[in-house]
Amino acid sequence: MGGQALLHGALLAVFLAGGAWLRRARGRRWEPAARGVLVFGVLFFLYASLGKVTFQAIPWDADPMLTRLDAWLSPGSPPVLAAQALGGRAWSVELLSFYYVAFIPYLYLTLFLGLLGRPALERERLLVALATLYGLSFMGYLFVPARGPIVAMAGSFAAPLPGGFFHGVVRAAIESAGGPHGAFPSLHVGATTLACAFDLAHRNTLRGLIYVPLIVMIAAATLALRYHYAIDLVVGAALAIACLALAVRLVPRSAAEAGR
Amino acid sequence: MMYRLIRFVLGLSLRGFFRTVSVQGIDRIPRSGPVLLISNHANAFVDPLLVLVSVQRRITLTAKSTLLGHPLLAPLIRAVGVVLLHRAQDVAHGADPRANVEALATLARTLRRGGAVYLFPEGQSHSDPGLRPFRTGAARVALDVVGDGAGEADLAIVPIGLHFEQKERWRSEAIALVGQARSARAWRREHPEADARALTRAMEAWVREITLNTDRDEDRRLLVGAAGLLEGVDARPPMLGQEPPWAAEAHVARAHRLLEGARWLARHRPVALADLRARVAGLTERLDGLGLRPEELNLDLGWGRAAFFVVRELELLLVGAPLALWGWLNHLPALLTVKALVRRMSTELDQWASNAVFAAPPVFAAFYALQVGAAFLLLPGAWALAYALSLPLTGWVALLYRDRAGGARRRTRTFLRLRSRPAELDALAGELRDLALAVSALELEIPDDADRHDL
Repeated sequence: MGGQALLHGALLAVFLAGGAWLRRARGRRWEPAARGVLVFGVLFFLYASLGKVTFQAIPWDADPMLTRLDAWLSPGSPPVLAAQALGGRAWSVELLSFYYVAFIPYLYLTLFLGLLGRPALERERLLVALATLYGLSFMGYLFVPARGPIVAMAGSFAAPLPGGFFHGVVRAAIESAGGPHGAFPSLHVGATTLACAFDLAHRNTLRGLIYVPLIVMIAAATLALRYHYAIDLVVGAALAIACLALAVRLVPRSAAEAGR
Repeated sequence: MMYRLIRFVLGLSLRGFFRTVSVQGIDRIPRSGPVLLISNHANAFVDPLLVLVSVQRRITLTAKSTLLGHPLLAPLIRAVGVVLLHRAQDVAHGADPRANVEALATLARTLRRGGAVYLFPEGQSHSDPGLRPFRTGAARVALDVVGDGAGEADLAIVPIGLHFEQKERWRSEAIALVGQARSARAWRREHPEADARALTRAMEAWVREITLNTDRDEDRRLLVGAAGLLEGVDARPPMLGQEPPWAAEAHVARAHRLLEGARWLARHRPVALADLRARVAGLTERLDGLGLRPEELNLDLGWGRAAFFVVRELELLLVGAPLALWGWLNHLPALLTVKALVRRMSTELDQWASNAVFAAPPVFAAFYALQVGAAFLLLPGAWALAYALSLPLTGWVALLYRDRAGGARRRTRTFLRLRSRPAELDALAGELRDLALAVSALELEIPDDADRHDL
């Protein structure tokens, strides 16, 4: 624990120094891309560290409340249990796990293309929208701490998920980040919805449309793989749209044209 | 409700035919109050649709009376309340020009009630390089509404210039450029003795300001080529998929200035004009031969930019391929049917787009009904529903994918061509810059108000 605290402290110091350095580099050609990398470096670092500390720092468990909200959303069978039908066979679990993993390249590619290939106005909006979404979602992880159905409803599922390589990758990745945590809201759904909506709203209709099936499959995967409640998906998508609208308001055309 | 539904469906169809549908200066069309829209008529039914699908307020259209005999168009005409005009040349087909008195009165009543009316004063769609003489109907309606100009009644007359990259070509650009709105009452007060013919001449001048008009096709091609060359001198090719619509206002203003200059030169420096024409024609021909647009001479040829281009385009082309393929497979029969129908129905250039835009909705709806019906018969309900939902999404993806893949292929070819022939690139870029300098030098000699009257 002491070593980790030291590592986290060092990384935070690096980020602070990077921020100060970027303030002095305003106007340089590479500055916007470097700023984007730094912002997401901080956010992803926070995500990795949250898993360790949330359940020690916050003394309550939000899983029962989220389960009740799910029951309110879908009065019949809870969506997570209904989604068992999607993950009953090894191949379907593998397929869904593949889509779950595809979140990472999609998001990174969106960031890469957004930071390097977009005009200043759109780049700023993407950065502000994604950073706001991540910030708000982390608040959810902190103050509505939940491990998700895979832990909270473990006894309710008919059978463990069969799976192979991709499912193994998903499980290993989650274990390495401190086990299932941060169920509310779903950043898988939120971030991909935002990326897709951003493309659709900013003259990249083709890219937006071709990822619609991916988002649908990611949403199905988060339920079928038992990491999220349906309410997490709904709130994640709603937050994404709200953050995009907020970014459009916060980053007016004049600010971007002034060379930010 | 019916009007909105038809506008939505035809809007989809229009955007399926044209890659870009843009109304520039749309804010110049008043959102309320009486408005008379007038424009050139270059592409038959597509012309009113361009504005109709982009403007939120309801617009009353006019059409030739003989269209009521068309089995597909007749129900549409009735549903959206089109006012029929009887042309003299259609008398043999049942038109009765005497009925125009009532038709024009109906239009005037619509305007008095605060409505919007769209008229084509040329009277018929055509493919001439310039405007045809305006008829007086639009002016008579306007004067009928404002009377002698002494009362409160007013009417905004809004000229619209319709521009097509290549009007009969699938996935080309269609732009409506809205001009400055004029008050009919103010015009009436300034011209108390004038009749409908005088207002018709004024209307024609207003539409000329925002359209390109020459006597010959060859002159028009040269004019458009010259304007394109001069715009490309300092421009950079836009990023694929981020192309702004063709900037019609700036382009038309530049072309008008060129035309003014050409007319002045024809009288005062004919040799200089002949030299310029030859240089423009030569450079345009060389660029066309290489498949280059003028601004592509400024393409960033660095390998870093090229690598970024490859990543960006490969992502789209690889991820989008399955959806696009699915879309093509499922829409190809309907598309081929529309194509066959359009070929059969179209005899003039200005009929292709219109026939495609109007034939597509019923044909695609029929194929969708067949395909979805078959899916529900053959597949479990959930799969059939997924199939039905996939149709519009993948159809649209297939269309955009086709545009994008074509653009990427073209840009790649340009990049490789320019990289492999740097000397040729330098020579062309030098020639383009010299041409721009020569035009600028001549521009200084030409008085500002030269020949504006005969544009």
